[in-house]
Amino acid sequence: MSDQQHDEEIRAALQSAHRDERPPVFGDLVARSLPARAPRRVWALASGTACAAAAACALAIFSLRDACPGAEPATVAYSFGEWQAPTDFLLEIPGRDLLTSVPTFEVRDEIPKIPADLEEKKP
Amino acid sequence: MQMPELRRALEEWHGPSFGWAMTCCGFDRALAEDVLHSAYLKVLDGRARYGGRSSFKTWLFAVIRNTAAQHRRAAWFRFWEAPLPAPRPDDAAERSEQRTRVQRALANLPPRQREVLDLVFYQGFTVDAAAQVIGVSVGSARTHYQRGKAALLSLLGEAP
Repeated sequence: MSDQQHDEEIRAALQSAHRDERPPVFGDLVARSLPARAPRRVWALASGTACAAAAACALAIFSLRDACPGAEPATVAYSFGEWQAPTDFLLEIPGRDLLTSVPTFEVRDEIPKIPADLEEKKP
Repeated sequence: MQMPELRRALEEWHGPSFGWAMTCCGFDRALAEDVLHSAYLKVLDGRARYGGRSSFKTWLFAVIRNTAAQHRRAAWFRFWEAPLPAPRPDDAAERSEQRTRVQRALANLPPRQREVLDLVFYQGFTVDAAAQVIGVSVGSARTHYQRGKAALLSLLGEAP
């Protein structure tokens, strides 16, 4: 079949699909009142109830946890200063202080004089 | 456009608009009437304004298509609260065998392919105008057109 015959077949098929379609009277359709919006109200009510229930559950959980005797408030150490690596023990070696500290030397302003007995021995 | 002019234009395109609403609603007459009613109210209330960028018919068909999509979304949220209405027993008897067969084949097509075919072959749009109605590029509409034709012919060939 040619492309044109295919087009004709599709056109005929669509016309048969729309056969006996009697549109409603225009004036009646425009004048008709809007359909009831009840479903939307029900949906809003259901979502509102679900939100309220979730909020009540959250409140109940927090209040029960605070009222529990002996319960300590949960604290989380976020400071990196308090954190220790699990391999820190490897650094615990004898003389670690010497390795991690920088030695300091006393600096004198004056130049020490050569003792007299040593001065004489100079060539 | 002023109100009397709008009303006259709507009335002029009422028949094709109803056919298009039927296509957008899967040939459910009651739903198509609701969709068309809502679309007309949108136009007459000024919620949908004709800007003159396309022909009035193209613009009106786009409004009807968007309204049908809104109804479908609303129906999706509504499905759990009320059972779907049972099909009337005389519906099947009313429809001829050929019409039922074609409608079933159309229902099996992807929505955009079905819409492009209906706009081009039944409503007399060009592919470019059909692209404007369904809000896709012309290239995309051409693809839907070609694939839709092949798929519909195949479905009609397979059908008993």
